[in-house]
Amino acid sequence: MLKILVCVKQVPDVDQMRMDPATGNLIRAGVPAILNPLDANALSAAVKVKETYGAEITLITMGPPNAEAVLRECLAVGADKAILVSDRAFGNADTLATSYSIVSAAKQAGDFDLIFCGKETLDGATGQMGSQLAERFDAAQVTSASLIKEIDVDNNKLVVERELETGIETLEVSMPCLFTMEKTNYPVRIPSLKGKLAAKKAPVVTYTANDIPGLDRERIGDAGSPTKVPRMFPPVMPEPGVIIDEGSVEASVAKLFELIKD
Amino acid sequence: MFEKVSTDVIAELKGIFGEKRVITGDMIGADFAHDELPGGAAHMPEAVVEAASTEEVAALMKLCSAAKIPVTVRGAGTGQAGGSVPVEGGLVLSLKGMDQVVSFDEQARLLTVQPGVLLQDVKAAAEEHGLYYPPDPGEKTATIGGNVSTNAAGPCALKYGCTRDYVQDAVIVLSDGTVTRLSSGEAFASVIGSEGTLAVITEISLKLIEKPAADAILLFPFMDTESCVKAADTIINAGFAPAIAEYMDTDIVEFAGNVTGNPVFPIEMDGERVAATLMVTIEGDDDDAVMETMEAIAEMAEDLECLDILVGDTPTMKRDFWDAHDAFHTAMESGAKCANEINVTVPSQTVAELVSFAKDLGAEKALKVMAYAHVGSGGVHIHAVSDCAKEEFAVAFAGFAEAVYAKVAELGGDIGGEYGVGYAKKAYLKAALSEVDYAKLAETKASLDPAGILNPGKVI
Repeated sequence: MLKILVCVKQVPDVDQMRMDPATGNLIRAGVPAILNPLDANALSAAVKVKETYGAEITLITMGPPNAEAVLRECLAVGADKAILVSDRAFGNADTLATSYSIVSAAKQAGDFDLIFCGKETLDGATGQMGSQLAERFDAAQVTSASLIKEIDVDNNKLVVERELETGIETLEVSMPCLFTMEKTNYPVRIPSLKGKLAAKKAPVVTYTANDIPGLDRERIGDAGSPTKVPRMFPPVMPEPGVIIDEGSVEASVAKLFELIKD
Repeated sequence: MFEKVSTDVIAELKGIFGEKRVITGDMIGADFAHDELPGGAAHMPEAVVEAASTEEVAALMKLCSAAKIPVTVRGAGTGQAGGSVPVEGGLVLSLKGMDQVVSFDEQARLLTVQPGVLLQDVKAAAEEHGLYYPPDPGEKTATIGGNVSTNAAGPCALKYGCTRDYVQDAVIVLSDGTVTRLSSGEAFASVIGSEGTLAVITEISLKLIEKPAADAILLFPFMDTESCVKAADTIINAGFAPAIAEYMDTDIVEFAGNVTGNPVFPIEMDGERVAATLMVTIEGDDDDAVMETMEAIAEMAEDLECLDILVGDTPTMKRDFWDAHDAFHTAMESGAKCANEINVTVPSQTVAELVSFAKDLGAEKALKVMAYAHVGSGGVHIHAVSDCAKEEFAVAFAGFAEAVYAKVAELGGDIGGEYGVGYAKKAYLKAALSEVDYAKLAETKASLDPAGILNPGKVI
């Protein structure tokens, strides 16, 4: 049976997020955490593969203990197992340290034939994780994947489509393979109530830094992160223009002249 | 019967409002000739006056009453029944500029606003005070004055009632310019929902309530419409107090989904086409309470005869559901060459019968008919679309609408629905009401607006 890993992330619901203009800090208070939207599409793709070919889907995320909520959300729509990588030691990690931590933890659960990631996250939007994970898993990498067309399980290969600006590219790839998924073709799945109730009781395995043998402490968290964020600030926005719409061309032109005169 | 707006009247108006807020001739925007009624005819006003205070409205009404000039009150012009269109000419009194939140009484949880405040801003103001203003007909850029004048309802009317239930008191200006504050009594009840035909509302105090701490949306797909509507009644009667029980015809889900590219709601399950989906919002004091209710509903699944029960309890999912639901309305005109809508209210248990009647009738007239409905409160939205020529569609739709309104009357419903009667449904109102009720309407109109200058050509 195919073994699938789906990497997901809990992100703040940016639609409800504001930035403090004075400090430049994001105001996170009262902002709910959600499953990164593109990860939901990646999960849908993985579940579709499971439905078509049979597979076991393991989820992995790194974050605070309450990130368990997004894992349960994913378990409710067809994932089988969930790993939460959570420890203060992993805090302040950049993508380099995060990909190292995720792969170190995932390897505790065995090897994977297919790894699915969302194309990017809503908060950081670096789009770096997929590539870094593929390198660390020693897996073929298909970015902007839009359709898993066919999997030849016996011969360890598959055919996948990529969505490019210039058109669709079809590739034959050998497994293990990592996809960063576009949302095309894989709409977010709505969990059933039965799935939701089962997910509520499903076990979620938590790995702390101590639970991962051989983990190099210098390569995780703040210490393992060469990327530092010295300051965050809102972009300087140009003065908004004025839309003159007085209901008719004549009235709008009259208003324009009035404004020019003033 | 009515007089034209003379140059003397214009001069007097400019004396009250100043030059800039009295708009005449070519300077009147074309938008003032219509609202959002599909296929509505254009009726230009002779002048548009932008009021800024109750006193100004009173002065205008006094003047127009004496001069026998029709006055049509207008908010954001988002109506769908032609209610704010000056079919008899005269003046359009725009209250859109009266858009201030006047006060908030924390003790009484009363938000006092001018009529031009948009519904979305009323809701935001309520939220700023940690409270909730429930009525929501969907169009959040409508003014609260428009909502009061049509007694707007929407999906959550099932649990929370209509706009009327939140109006604590209102300042109104009668057609002769008399200003009065009403908080109870027959006149107060009559003015709310009177579509600007009885008085001009210039200030409104709204009751705000506590917002439920947690909620979740459940979707119940069905193989047939009757079971879908019946299940809504079962859930309501079982005491789960859903805020919303929305019947959604799969034809409308699919049509809107094709326009937006994301239908969200189920169209097929296990290879079979779903006939309809019921969307139910349950609320509770916390997530655990909501989960408990969901578990209790899960136990009823067999009795409900639904194909499955799906859950949207994350901010993303809930937003997706509502975006897809809103698209039922917004997708119509971009999805077909011709589109029009019938909005009515019928007794909840007759929703399936009405939808089935409308679909059969639509098929006879080569119209694609799709529907969604607020089960419980009985609001039904029936959309008819076609790619035929506009003239052909207009004829087919007129016949369709007449038969549907007759059916609504037979079922004991209200053709005004949530959009009101306006001029679009005026011709059908008499047949839809009992003689006594119609006479009562006429009597109230004669009593509050004896000269008949307020929004003539509407309702009765």
